[in-house]
Amino acid sequence: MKRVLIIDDDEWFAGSLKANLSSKFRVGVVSSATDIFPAIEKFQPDIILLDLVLSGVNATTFLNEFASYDDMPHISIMVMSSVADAIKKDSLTSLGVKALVDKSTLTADSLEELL
Amino acid sequence: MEISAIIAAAHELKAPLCLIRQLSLQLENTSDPREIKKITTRLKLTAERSLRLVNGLSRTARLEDAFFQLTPIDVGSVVKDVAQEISPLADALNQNILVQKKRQKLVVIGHFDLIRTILLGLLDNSLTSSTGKKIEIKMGLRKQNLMLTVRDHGQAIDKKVYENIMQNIGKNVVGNADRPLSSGLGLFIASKFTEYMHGQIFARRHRQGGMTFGILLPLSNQMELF
Repeated sequence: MKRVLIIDDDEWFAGSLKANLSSKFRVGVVSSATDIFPAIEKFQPDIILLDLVLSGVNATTFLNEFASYDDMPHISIMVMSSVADAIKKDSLTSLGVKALVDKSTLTADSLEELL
Repeated sequence: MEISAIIAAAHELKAPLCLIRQLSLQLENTSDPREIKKITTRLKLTAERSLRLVNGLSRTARLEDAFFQLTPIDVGSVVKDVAQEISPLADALNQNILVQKKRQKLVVIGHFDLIRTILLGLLDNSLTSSTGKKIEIKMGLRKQNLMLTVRDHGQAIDKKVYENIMQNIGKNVVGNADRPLSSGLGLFIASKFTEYMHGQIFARRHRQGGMTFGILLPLSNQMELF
């Protein structure tokens, strides 16, 4: 089973999403900005589902920092948002984002189709 | 309401709907009674939060028609009503709402529902943003006004984020980049209602973390009658 790390500070959303993705993935959750890299180190995800707007973290800063590490090229980063239809995907692709995921349609099946 | 504010409001209302959807999917696939109880409580609280925002928005649209008559209102009774309504959400988020007790009745010229909506909005924002364990509601006097404040002990707010909020308060629906779960729409509604009641909304950020949001409302001359 592929490992998915959810990075979202909305604990109710993250907890519910974790439960819903667990049918097809092994899922971990991080809700605090300071815990992100230690969690990646520990959980060793194949996929990161990153909420676009996270308290205390600028998504661009995080993505740039993530891209600077040589030992994580195997991890697919997907950015998720409830307003994905209002975001220009190109701006994220240049930051190494594999896909922009709409929270309003996200399911285990829809995530599997993106891989 | 300007188009940009409508778009911002629509986006902000979409987030709780995404949560309701995930919770519903989760509910479909669980048979554990404790889990079912937890999920249905969260569904209810999320729906109630969204309804408060939508109700506030529709009331904002009616302000221009002078639909709401201003009369003497005992703010303490509003605070008591609101603290009771918001307590299930506070419990679910492991927060305590502490209401400062006042012997003297504090009466303003206002509208019960508008003050109630303001306070609910400020509390909702504090509850979803606070990393501390308490939210404090205080009432006091400042010259000829009542000052009603909500203090949380959440994340410290960046100065630029704070300045952006203050510049746009009452004009636009702006999010708080340091508190993405809080409602720019709620703050916009609160500022419009406060303005309607000839009051003022303000915010302070605290070095040790958290924010205070508050309103000043004109005191009623009839305070001595209560």
